[in-house]
Amino acid sequence: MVCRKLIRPNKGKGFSLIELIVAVAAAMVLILGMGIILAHSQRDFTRMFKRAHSDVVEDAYSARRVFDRVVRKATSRRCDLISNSEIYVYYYSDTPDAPNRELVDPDRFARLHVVSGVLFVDYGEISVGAFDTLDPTSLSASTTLRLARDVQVSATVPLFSVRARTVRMAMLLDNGEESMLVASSGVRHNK
Amino acid sequence: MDTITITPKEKRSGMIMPLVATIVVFIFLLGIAMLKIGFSSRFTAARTTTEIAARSAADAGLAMAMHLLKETRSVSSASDVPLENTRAAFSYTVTPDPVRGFRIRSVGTSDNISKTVYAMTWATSFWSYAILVDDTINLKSNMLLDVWPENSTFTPTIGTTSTETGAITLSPNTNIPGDVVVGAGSNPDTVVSSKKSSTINGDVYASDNDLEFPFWPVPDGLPPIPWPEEPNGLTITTNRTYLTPITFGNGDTISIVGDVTMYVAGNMRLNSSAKLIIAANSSLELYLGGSLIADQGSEITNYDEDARNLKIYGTPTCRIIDLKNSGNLWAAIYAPNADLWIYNSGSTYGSFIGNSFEMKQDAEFYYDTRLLEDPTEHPSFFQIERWWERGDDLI
Repeated sequence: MVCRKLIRPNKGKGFSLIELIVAVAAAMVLILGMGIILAHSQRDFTRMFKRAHSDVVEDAYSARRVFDRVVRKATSRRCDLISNSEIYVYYYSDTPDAPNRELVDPDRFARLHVVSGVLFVDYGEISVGAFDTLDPTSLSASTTLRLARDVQVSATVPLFSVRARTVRMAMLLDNGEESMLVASSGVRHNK
Repeated sequence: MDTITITPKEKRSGMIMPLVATIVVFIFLLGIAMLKIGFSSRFTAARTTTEIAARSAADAGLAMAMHLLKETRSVSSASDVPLENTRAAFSYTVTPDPVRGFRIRSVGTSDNISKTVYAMTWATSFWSYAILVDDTINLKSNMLLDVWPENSTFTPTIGTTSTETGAITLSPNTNIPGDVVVGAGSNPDTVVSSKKSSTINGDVYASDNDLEFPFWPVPDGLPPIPWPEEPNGLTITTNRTYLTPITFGNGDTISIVGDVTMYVAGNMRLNSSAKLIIAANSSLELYLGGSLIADQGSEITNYDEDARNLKIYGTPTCRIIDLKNSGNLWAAIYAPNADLWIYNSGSTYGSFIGNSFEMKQDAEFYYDTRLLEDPTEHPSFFQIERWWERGDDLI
């Protein structure tokens, strides 16, 4: 019969134990290798994704950006460093196209401060004529924005420091999985 | 009879190929995702770097425009000036401000990012300071600093461009009612040395910028005139140049009548009890090529008691202005290289700008606020009065 011819003759031998062990071992090595490659790829991907998109990174970017903007337009006449992690800077409410010529003194303030590991910026107005005798702690904010979470405040390394017209920020963000040191300094350009 | 269909070995479906294909596809997708994230991170980093470069270029353009404005005091512009060691470049324009001074627009570009900053600036008189020096200020004990006229609400400022420790020394019981300015970038706490009981009512702060003291040029067309052998009783009514050192002998009196501009190329000395009188409704602009020494008992009388009526300018070779005036002195001095030594037995009124300033005895120094209203052109400096940037819409 034709069907019979297509069937390998059964000589009763099958796989030997040795052959089976070798085959299983080869398969194990193959599967293990693939598994390691896949696991590493997955781990690298996760790590890379976190580095690119974690809260730490996004917070660091926004904190630095706001800090630069606020400090660069601040007045060099005054800057109140209340503590290592709290600072007031003052600026003019100029429009992008022209300065507000009626202003003799800065009419706005920005307060950068840390509460329970979160960096906030408060904005508000300064009453006309109050700038020279201003008590910063009496200022009330009209807007508060959260800039960064997981801020590590050190007793020895100041978060904010002032040197002449320059204000410096050195902030460590650490959420347990990712950490990043954000350092920025800005020159107060306004008189 | 049952039929058994046996598939040939080469046509049998296995698990290996689909498994391998699945893994390859999975790794491929993972790789693509990683590349995308890497690219995204790299793009963000590159953009941030480019923004910083553009911003630095804009700042550099503004600094260059300010520098040129100080030198030329006129409008200027430049475009596509490369910022060294970067791909960034800047362009700036200095135009007259519709209200006052100049407006600077500086654009920094790096790749496809641009940043624009603006500044408004105008000339501020050096004589808006009571005392301003390049080196040291030494005020003796019990010195009083105040303003004149008495009803003025202006608070006088003293300052130095020095950053050295102890550049400003306030002896005991010295009172500064206004601000004290020290050199840019310095620590005010170390530059100002305040002795016991000395007080500063204003703020002590570092200057906004590095102040430079340009020399005020001697006007052209001052005819040379010889100094008389017997100058006593001389009345000067016309502009002139003395090319040799001049000395007022003991007891000599020289008067200035009218508005006179005078250049003394050499030293000028008032011997004991000599007098230089600026008459009523008169003024003297005195340019010094050498030192000015007024000996003990000499007198410089400004009849109208107005510092605007006696302006003393030092050229680069004027090194010492030593005044031992016996009466009150009203004067505005601008001598960038000169050490100003004041021994006045009376009070001093005006504004003193020099290399250094020393009040040798306890006395009164009044800043003459009328200098702020002086309409004539005199030494001034540019500093940024207002700064802002485009795209500042975050706050």
